[in-house]
Amino acid sequence: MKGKDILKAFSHLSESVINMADQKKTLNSSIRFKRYSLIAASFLILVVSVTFIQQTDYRFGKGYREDEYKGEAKKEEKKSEMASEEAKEEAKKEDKKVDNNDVAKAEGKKEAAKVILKYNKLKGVTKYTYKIPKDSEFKDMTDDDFFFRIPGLAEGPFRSGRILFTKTDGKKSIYLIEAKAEAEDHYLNILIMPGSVTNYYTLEEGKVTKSKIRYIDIIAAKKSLENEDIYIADFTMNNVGYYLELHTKDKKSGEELFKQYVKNIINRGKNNPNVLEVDIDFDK
Amino acid sequence: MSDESIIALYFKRDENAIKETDMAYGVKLNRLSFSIVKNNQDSEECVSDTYLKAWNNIPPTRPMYFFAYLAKICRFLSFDRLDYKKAKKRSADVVTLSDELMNTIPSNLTEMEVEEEELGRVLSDFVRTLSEDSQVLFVRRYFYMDKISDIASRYKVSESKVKTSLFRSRQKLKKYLEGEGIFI
Repeated sequence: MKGKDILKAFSHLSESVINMADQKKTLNSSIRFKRYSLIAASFLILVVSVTFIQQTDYRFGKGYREDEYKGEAKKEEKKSEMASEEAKEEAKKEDKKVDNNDVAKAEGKKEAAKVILKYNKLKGVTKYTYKIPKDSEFKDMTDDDFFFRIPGLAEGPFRSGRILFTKTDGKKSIYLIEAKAEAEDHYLNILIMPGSVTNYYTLEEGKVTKSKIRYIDIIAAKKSLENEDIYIADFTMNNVGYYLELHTKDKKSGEELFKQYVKNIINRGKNNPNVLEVDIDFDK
Repeated sequence: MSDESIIALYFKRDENAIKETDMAYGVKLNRLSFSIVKNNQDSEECVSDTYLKAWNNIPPTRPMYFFAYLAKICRFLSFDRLDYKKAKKRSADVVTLSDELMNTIPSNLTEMEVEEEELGRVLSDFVRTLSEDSQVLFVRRYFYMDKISDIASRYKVSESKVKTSLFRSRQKLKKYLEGEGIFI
């Protein structure tokens, strides 16, 4: 008996075993590893979040709008301070002793106002919008701009784009990029903005789900029309918001194409491939 | 087209069955055959012969796992073709894989001739004793004759992990063959 005899004898393996080896795309050990990693990551996030909340008095819903919220909250604070002052003044006028409970009640109003304010703010965010500053100027993107700003598209299909500038303290800084990559059967719209924008999304039809790629939150959605499919992803990476919208006529491999685009953008070009696989869970 | 639909075409004796089979599995079968015969023309002929054999056998045979069924036929035919060419220019992959498996043969069996089918039965039983992951890696390597690097990238694991798993499986196979009474 020789090695080749055994090799040939493999042809007699049962079809179920052969089929399993053909169909199986992931090893169980890899799945287990991913699962444990996910649990560990969730635990870590939980610990960090709890620590953060404890240390900063952070409340759910404030998020990236903290500054704005603080502004609103200060107004409310002033109002309630004025209310408590008024209560004191009235007490003086009526020659009554100031009851500490009245002041506490007024301060209680302040707390209540805060909560309502936050709730309304969250409810109000329903549309994807961005404001272009008045002193903005437009600049068409060159190959260099693409290479430095969206290297993931550097070798892609025909692309065009423009950069909007705004002046900050006499210095120019990039404010927003609009770009487009076009091929025969699809085109991709991209918006790149500084700051987190993940909450500014909208989808008129269909559902939106959230998935995670490494440390990047991706809000992804798919919309099927008669002639084309639209895939949308909205995520933040290194404090820069990315909004991608793919329109494709290829109903079969559109999803793969889209994942590839997202992967390329995240990898920032072929020379730095950090993400090997992009797994976006579209709720169809 | 689903496997069931293609098989239904065979049962209707519709010649589109061959075309659909080729569209669904032509590439994979060609790759499998090429890994054995290492010649484009030969692998294409083996795949064509596979379709012919499937056409002759279905019906009455109704394969449960269509691709696995075709892959088995294709593998048989490819090895037959390799033998036909007197193995003078046997492909490097086959030699490598044969050498790997040579070490699994217990010393008391090296001089024995074992019927291929009987050996196949023993192998089938042995593979079932392995864990699911080991089964997959073992079958990918020795049935589909995939390269270690291809297996590693397919399952997104390191090559060393694949090599270690295969090494352990071969060691187990050696022990299994030692303990198995193989009748000539």
